[in-house]
Amino acid sequence: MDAQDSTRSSADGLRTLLRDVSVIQASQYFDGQPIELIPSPSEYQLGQVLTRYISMVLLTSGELRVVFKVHFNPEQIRAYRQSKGSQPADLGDRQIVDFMKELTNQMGGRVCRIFDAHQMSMGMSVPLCTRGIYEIYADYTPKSGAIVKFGDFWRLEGPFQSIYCSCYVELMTKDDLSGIKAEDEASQEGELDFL
Amino acid sequence: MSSINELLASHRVLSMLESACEYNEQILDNIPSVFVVLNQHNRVIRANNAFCELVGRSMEDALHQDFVSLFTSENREILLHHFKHLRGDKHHNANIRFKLEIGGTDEIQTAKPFFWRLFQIEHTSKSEGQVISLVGDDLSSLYQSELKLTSIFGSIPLGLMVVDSQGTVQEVLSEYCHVLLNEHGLIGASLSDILLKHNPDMHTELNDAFGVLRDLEGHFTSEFATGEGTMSRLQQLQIEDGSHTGKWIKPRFQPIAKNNVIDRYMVILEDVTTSYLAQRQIERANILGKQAQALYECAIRDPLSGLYTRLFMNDSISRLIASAKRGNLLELSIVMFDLDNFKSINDTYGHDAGDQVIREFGRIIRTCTRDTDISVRYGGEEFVLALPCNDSDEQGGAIVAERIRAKLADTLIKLPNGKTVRVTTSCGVAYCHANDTLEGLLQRADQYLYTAKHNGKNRLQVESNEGE
Repeated sequence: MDAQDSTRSSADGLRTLLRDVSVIQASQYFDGQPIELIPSPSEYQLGQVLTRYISMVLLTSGELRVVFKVHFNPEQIRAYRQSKGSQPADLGDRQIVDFMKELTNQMGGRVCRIFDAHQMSMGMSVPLCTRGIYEIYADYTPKSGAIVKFGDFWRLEGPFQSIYCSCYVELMTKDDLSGIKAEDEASQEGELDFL
Repeated sequence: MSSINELLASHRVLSMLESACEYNEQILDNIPSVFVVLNQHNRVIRANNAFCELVGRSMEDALHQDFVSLFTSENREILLHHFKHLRGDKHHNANIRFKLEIGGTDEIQTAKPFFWRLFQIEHTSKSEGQVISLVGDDLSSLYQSELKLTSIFGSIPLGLMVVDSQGTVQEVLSEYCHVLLNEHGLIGASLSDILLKHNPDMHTELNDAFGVLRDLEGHFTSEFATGEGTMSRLQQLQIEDGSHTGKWIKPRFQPIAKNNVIDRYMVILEDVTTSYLAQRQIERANILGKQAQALYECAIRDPLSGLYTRLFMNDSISRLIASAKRGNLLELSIVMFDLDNFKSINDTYGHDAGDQVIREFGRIIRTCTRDTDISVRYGGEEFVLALPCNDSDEQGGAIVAERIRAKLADTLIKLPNGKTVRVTTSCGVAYCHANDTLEGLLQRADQYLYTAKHNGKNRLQVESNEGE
C-alpha cells in the first residue's frame, strides 16, 4: 500500500470512527435509546448553517487534528428533556447549551480514549458553544499533500428528533489509521483528566 | 505544572470569548429591529426575536424560512432586485436602504411598512453562497403618527406651508392651503406671485413683505422681529374663488431656523373671510347709523334756529314733567317767547331778513341756556323753553327768560341787505304743578305771553306762586 492509499484508507477509517463514536456516545447520553445515523444528508451541504447552535471541541495529537461539532436546535433537546421530567429551571437555553456541550465533550473524550488505546496521546479542548450562523466562517476545504484535510457531516436521529455532527480533520501522518475502531476504547474509560 | 497552568489559562480565555460571543448574540436577539441573515437562496440562517415575532415562528422554525415568501409578488420583485444589486457589488461596500412592505401574504396576513438596510457579509464557507444581512424597522407607528398628523393638519382651518426665502413653496403641510389659495399645484409655485395675482393693489405691501423674507435669510432668528412691522401690513388679502364675496386670508410668517439662523419660513394662512365680512357689515351699519342719526337730527332740529322742533319737544318735555311730578326736580318752568312785530320785519325786509332774525334769536337762546334745558322753535316766531331746576342755587325760568329778552333787545341784528335792526320779544313763564300736563303748561305759558304782549310787548309775564 502506497502513501496515497494509506492516507485514503486512514481518512475513510477516521470518518467511520467519528460517526460511530457519535452514535455510541449519543445513545449512551440519551438513556441508551437507539440512534440512527444518516450519512451526508442530501438536504444540506457541509458548511451550511444546519441548526441554531453549534457545540465543538478540538482534538489534537501528533498524527491529526480534529474539529468536532455537534449542531443542535435547543427546542428539540428541550422537548426531549421535558419528556424525561426535567424541571423548568433546567430547560433554559443556557442549560440546554451546557447539556449539549457535555455530549460533545463526551464524544470527544471517547475519541481521545480510543486513540490512547492505540498509544497515540490525544488532547482535547474544553467544549465551546456558539450560534449556528458561525458555520459560515468554517473552512471545510479538502486538501491533499503533506497534510491531508477533509470534512464530513452526518445526521443522528433519535429521541431528540435530529442533531447533526460535523468534523474537519487534518491528517499529518502517512501511517494507516484505518485500524482504529470505535469499540477500541473500553479498557481506559474513566481515566481521562478533564481540564 | 507550568503547561497545565497554561492550558488552564487558555481554557479560561476560550470560555471568556465564548461568553462574549454569546452576549453579542443576545444583543442581536433582543434589538427592536428585525435582523436576519440570508443565504444565497434567500433562506434565513440567522434571525432575531423581532423577526420571529413578526412571522409568528420560533427561532427553530424561522431557521431556513424562505424570506422572500413573506412578501407579496409585487414586493418580491423589488426585494429581489435589491438583493441582486447587493450581491453584484464586488467591492462589498454597497449599503442599500429602501422602504418596502412585508406581509400581505398567507404567512403574514397584515402588511406592514418597513425600512430595510441591506449589507453583504464576507465569510469563508462557500456552501451558503453570498450571504447578506437585513435590518428592518417597522414604520407602522411612524406611518400612523404621520397619518394622524396629516388628518390633524387636514382638519384644522389653517393653511400651513413652508416657503424658502424667495417665497417659493417647498412643502404643503395642510391640504387647506389649496382651498384657501384656490390653487391645485403649490409645490414650486411662488407664493408672492399667487397673492399678487389676486391683490394687484397690494403690490407695494406684498413686495415689501417678501423682500423682508429674502433679506432676513441667514440672519439670526431673533432679528425676524425687525420685519414684523412690514409683515403686519398684510392683514387681509383677497383670493377670488368665483364666489360673490371671494375669500379673504391673513398670512403670517414664522422663521424656520437651521443652526439658529433663518433658513426657511413657515406660512400660516388664516381664513378671515367671516371676520372681514363682519367688519364690513359693522362699517355699513355705522354708516347707516350715522345717516339715521342725521335724518333724526334733521327731523328734531330746526335748521334755521339750531333749536329743537316740536317733534322732539313733546316727548322730551313730557319726560321732564313726569320727573318733576316724581319730585326729582326742584322746579320746572316753561317759557314761551314770541318775537314782537316779526310780521313787519318780513314784510319790510323780506323773508331772508326774517330768517336772519330767527337765526340770531336761536343763537341767543342757545348761549343763555344749559345742555339740560330744552329749547324748541315752537312755530314761525314762537319759541318754547323747558328749564328744569335741581337746586336752589340754579337760576329759575323767569331769570333765564329775562336774560334772553334783554340780550335780544340789546342786540343789533345785521340783515342780509346790510341794514341792522333791533328786535324785541315778549315772554310768558309758567311753572309746573302737581297735576300739570304738557298741554296745560303750554296753554298757561301762552296765556302769560298774551298778557305780556297785551301789556306793551318786550316784557315778561311770570306765573305767580298761586298759578295766576
